Amino acid sequence: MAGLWISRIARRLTQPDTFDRLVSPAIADLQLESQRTRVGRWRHYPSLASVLMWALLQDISRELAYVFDADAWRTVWTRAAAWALIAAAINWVILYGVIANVLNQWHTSEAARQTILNGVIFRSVGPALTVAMIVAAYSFKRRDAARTVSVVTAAIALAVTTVGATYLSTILQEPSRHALDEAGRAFYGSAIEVRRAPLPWQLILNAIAMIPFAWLGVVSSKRRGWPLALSVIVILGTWQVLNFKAFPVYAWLARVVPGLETLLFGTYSVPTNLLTLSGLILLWRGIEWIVERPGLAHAE
Amino acid sequence: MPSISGTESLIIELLRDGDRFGLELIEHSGGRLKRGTIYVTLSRMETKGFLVSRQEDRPAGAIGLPRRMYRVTAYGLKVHEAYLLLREALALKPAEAR
Repeated sequence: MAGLWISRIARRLTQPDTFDRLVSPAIADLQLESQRTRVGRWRHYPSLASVLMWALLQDISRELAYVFDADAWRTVWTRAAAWALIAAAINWVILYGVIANVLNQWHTSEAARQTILNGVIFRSVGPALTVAMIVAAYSFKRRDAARTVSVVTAAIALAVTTVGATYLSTILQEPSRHALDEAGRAFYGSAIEVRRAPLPWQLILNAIAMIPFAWLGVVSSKRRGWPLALSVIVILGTWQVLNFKAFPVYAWLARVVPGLETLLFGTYSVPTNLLTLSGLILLWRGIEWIVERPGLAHAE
Repeated sequence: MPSISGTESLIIELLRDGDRFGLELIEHSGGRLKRGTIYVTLSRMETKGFLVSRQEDRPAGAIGLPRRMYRVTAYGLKVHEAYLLLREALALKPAEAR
């Protein structure tokens, strides 16, 4: 029967009401037309694609209204903003201490030192948005567990914000980064490589790399109290450790796909975000699945 | 104040004779309604209250999705009539065009 696979996909992608009113009539007509002529069937596919696109747009605009309604601002976004501020503050304190310590060893001039340390605050934008993503996904899932589409919409909105915020923070920290590179070069000779601002496609990849954090929020939403804190700390902690410089994923991937190493370094650790965090969440879910299997629970 | 487009008016005109589904409307429109836009227009007209729809009754064991039949509402007809009157009133007569 024509249109069956489209029907299955559309049912998953669209809201039940949108599917019934917009997509289902188009598929039903396709099925009728395909029984009459073979050509009619192929004429119908482009129109079905445009109906599906329209249905998705309609759902997204409806969901955006839900994701940014007054209740969401009060219960989700305020909480996400508060956690983001805490994360930014912690990150700032740690980075400030680390960089100040390095500058002491480098015997940097006072003017350069001030420029560098003033720019440290802009480096906290990334971690803040990451935490906002986890908290927003967690809160939306707890607000209504059945509406996964809300989490997806919020994740897309935050990913788009990430592109703008990363670009802005890159521009704002430019003098600081330049001064840091200069100070490093003065200390090490010519060993320090001056990093350039990320290219547009790198910014987009950075935004995509935020998606596993939304997934982490969804995974965590099933818990409360210390199990929640423990699972988030274990996943994020392991991820942080694995992302440390010694993490051999670049070298391993470069062996599998020649030339990939350059690309991976060029994308500011995006693949490590995607790979390690997704892998860790899958591992964590796997452990839970094994532990919570009905057979095991019964045996206990 | 309700708004109605030329396409919406045409759909109401086609539905005057009775309930129809999307493909029938396309076939009877003489090429003025397109496959890519009709379902979106029908959905919008339902939201506006110009149309109501229901799934067709089908025999047990029928395969495929049921078609959606559309019927014009009294409100839809009223807006359509008003649209036709307005179009008639605003149309340039040969004497006025000179």
